[in-house]
Amino acid sequence: MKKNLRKALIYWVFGFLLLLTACVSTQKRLLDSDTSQLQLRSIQTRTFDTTNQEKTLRTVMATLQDLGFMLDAGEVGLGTVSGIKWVNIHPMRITVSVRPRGETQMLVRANCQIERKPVQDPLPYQRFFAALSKALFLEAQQVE
Amino acid sequence: MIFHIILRVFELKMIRFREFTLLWGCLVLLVFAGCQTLPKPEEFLHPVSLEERQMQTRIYPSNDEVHILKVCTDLLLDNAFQIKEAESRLGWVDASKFKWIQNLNFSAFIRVSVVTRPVQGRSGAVAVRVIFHQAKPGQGIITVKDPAIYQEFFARLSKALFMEAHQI
Repeated sequence: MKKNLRKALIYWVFGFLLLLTACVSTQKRLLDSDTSQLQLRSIQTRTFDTTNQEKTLRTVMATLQDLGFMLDAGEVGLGTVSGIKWVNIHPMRITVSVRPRGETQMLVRANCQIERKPVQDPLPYQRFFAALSKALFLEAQQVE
Repeated sequence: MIFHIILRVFELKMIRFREFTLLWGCLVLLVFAGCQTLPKPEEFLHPVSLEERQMQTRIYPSNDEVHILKVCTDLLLDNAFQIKEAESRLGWVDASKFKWIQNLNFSAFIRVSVVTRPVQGRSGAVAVRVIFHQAKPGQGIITVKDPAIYQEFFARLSKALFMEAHQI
């Protein structure tokens, strides 16, 4: 009986240790280092030769919808649009900001998160900007 | 296959540690719960098909985009939707509702985005794109792909615009 209890205790401790392995500390640095931040910013940012912020924002919205995102928030004053898309229950959130850069350009920055973790892989950003460039180009062509 | 192996291992554990069956079962499930694989980031950026976009879009003859947006908003309110977000400068209204499904005894969450835009290169034409989303257990909120729902929405919108134009 005693032996059984000891055995039980060992397995319970082992079990709890296993459970605790999931509790990896989240108390890392709250802010990333400047270098990684700059790197990420360059991956997330593109400039476009247009001066119309509202039109660029509308094209961003249409692009997000074409990529299957559900629009979540949008504000002209701040120049931001957000969207969300689920793939196999995992959500990806995207926030796109559009700001004037100089006299002739717009700076577009996209920021993606999957399951609340920032996406640092350049490929999804490249895909988004490729789709956006195409949409902006098509619009520009239609205007001319 | 993996599930069968786990089951087999679990069975062996049951034989050896009969008194801890429940504990081991929970532990195995917990450990494997952590092994869910995330889709690759680029998988989230697959474009929707052209058919889907066409199904969601109709062009209406009008110079007043905001007026069309107002009519869309009224239509959504008529159908028990609550407006969640709206930005007329972007031509966007977002609404949601819970629809009670009697035979399933279940309340489904439905969200709809309406986006309007003047058609480029064609004066006096406004494109309306409507996208319905529905919460599905185990899938998150996904796009509704039933053409009948979109056809019905646009039929009602056309009727509302016609009635507005003729002051009925």
